[in-house]
Parts: sequence; structure tokens; C-alpha cells
Amino acid sequence: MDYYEILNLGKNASQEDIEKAYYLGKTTYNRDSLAHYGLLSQRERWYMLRKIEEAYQNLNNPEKRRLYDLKMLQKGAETGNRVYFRKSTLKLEIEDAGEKKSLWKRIKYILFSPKPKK
Amino acid sequence: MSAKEKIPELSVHHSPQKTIWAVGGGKGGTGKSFIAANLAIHLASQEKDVVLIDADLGGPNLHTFLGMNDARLDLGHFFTNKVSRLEDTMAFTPFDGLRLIRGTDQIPFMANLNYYKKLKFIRHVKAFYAKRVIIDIGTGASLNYLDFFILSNPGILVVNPEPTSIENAYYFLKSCIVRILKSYIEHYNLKDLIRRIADQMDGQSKSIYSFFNTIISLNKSYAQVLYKALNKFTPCLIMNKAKSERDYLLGESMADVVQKYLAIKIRYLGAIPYDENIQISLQKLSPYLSTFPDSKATLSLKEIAERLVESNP
Repeated sequence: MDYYEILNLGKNASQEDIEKAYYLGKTTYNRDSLAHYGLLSQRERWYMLRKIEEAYQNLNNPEKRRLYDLKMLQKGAETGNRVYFRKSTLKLEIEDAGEKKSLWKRIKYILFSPKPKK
Repeated sequence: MSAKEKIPELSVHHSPQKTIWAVGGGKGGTGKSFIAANLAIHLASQEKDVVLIDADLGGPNLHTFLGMNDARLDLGHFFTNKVSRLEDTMAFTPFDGLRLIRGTDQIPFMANLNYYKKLKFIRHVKAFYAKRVIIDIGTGASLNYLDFFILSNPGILVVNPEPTSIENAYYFLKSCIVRILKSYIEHYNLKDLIRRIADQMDGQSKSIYSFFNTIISLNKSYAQVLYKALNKFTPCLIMNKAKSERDYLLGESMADVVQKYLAIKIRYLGAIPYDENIQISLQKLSPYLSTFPDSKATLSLKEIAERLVESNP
């Protein structure tokens, strides 16, 4: 997730939007919040709080934000904007997947490949 | 694969003249029936063509929320083939433009509806004409309720600002997600993966997002299929019985957590304030919306209805 995704912001977010999103993020993952009850471990909650803080520190500072946006633009040009998460989902076709055997092989490889020994 | 395990239909294209909303959630007493009944009353006053279905198979009581004591026919007549069409069980209500398909309390074990009866029910819901259909589904995460919720557009999850309610709501959403993923995986005969998904969710990491990241790191296109399958599932959230500003914000916070950790987008429709008059209206068998038309809860319900209509005109 990039900083904008962490704070649920659009790329054109104003300073006020950033402040609001930061407040909501801190409230959401606060220890006393009910929003993560039964779903997140302590570790995951801390991780998210750290990421929110990091995102805020970078987006709240205009110069840091400019540099970050520039970096993201360059990265986008190199990697093609991570289209696998960004494609329209209006038309879902199960046939989008590869052939049955091929899919099974790939997922089997992902889940059952031997782990490297320490 | 047994028939029981299959989702009736993976992709539903409702007829264009109709939207089907299902009001559900894991925990009992959150206000599902209250919200379903009052949304229907409000929409009927605006659109004149609303059908409310009491699909709480284990404990129907929508008729009580509408102030209706008796009905000639109910869902039991349909499921026992006493009537051939679901729409034959529709009853007019005291509200212009609103019809009710009443749940049955005459047939034991109705909650254990078998797969074929469920299919028949869904087929008939999609077949009759009405501008809006609102289905009140029961408590819990049984396969029948999950399927009604998944197949509606959108499913509306009702929660209260209490840990038990929130815990059950997440369990309900996770069950929906597993149900969707499982159906896709079964389509490809990847049964071992089902167990892995369950382990992933019940183990240390409960993030569906991290599950996807694992697959993406090795093959984007296969992850894309499953991710897209989930992306079609876009439920809405209502925070009922809100007592403070913090409770209002909690809905937004839950939507954020769901998006980040369950990899689905849930739309927060807003909060309905706690109001003791709801109990009073129930005791009087008098629908809340018409008894307290200017209350804060009524105004919130109307705003929520408008948001729903805007996104499903």
C-alpha cells in the first residue's frame, strides 16, 4: 500500500483531507477502538499505526509530498501502475484465469513449495 | 462437490427494473428487522412499488414491525407447495405501495432450508416484478443467509457499537468471503486451498490482503481472478443504536479496517441514533417511522435510504 492508500486518500487530497484522514486512522487503530476488535492482532494494529504515522509525516509536508509523488510517478512508469489491483472489476469472468491444471499447479507451488532451511 | 456446498449462482444479473437488498449481520438484536421494515416504509412512500420479504427463517417478525397481526399466506405455504408462486404469498400492508411476504412460524425447522428450496426461493424472488425488494435475513452465518446476502446488491450489514456485534459482523463478512473464494476454488477443483484459506484467516494473520499478496508475488493473473471475485462483493454498513460521536465514527473506522484487512470495499451508509421510542413503537405495534416522523433516528433512516437509492437508482 502506498501512503495515499494507507490514509484512504485520493492523489489530489487537500491538507484538510490529510488531517482528517490522519485523525480517523489514529482513531481506528487506537488501542481503545472497537473497530479492529476480533479481527486484528496487536502486532497488526501497531504496524498499521506506524504506517499511518509515516504516511502522515510524508504527505503533510509539502516538499516531502512533492518528492514522494515524483517517486511514485517514476515507479508507476517503470512498473505499469500495478494494474492487477487497479483494473475495473465490473466484468468478472471466471475464464480470465488460465487453464484448470495450470492454475492448480501454480497455486500448489505457491502453497506447498518447500520452505528454505534457516 | 455436494449440492449443499455450492453457491446457487455465482454472478447474478438482476432484472434491470429491480434492485434486491438484503439486510443482515452476524448478531441478533442489532436492529436488522427494524431497519428493513422502516427502509421499506420510507421507500414505499417515495416509489410505490416495494416488496419486503421476511427471510428470517428461524424467527420471523417483520409483520410485527409493520403492525400486522395476521396474514392469510406466508413463506411456509410457498415452501410446502401450497402455492406455486412466491408472489402469491404477498400481502398488502397498511402502507401504500408496500407489500410483505411474511415469514412462517407454523413450520418447525424452517431455518434448515434445503439447497433446492433455497434455489427455488431465489429464482422466484428474481422472477416477480417490483422496483425494490428488501430481504430481511436472520441472525447468524448459515449458508442460506450468506447466500441471500452475497446475491443481493448490495447486502446491508447492521452493527451496533459493541464488541460482540462487531466481532460477529467480521465473522459474518469473513464467512461471505470464504464462501465466494471457495466457490471459485471449487470451480477449479482446488479443494486443498480451501483449508489453507481457513487456516490463513484463523491463524496468526487474519488478513485476506496478505493472502492475496502471497499469491500475487508468484502469479498475478491467478490472484487477479480471486481478487476480482471478491471485488464484486460490495456490502454496505449501518451503525445502529449510536449513542455518541465516537459511535458515528466507528462505522467509518470499520470500513477502513475491512478494506485493509479483508480486501473488500464496504460502504458506510451512516449511523442511526439510539432511541428508546423504538421500543415504545414496538410495544404499541405501531411502525416507528410513521409514529415518530421527526425523530433523529427517522431522519437518519431517510438519509440512509436516499444514499442507497442514489447508488441503485
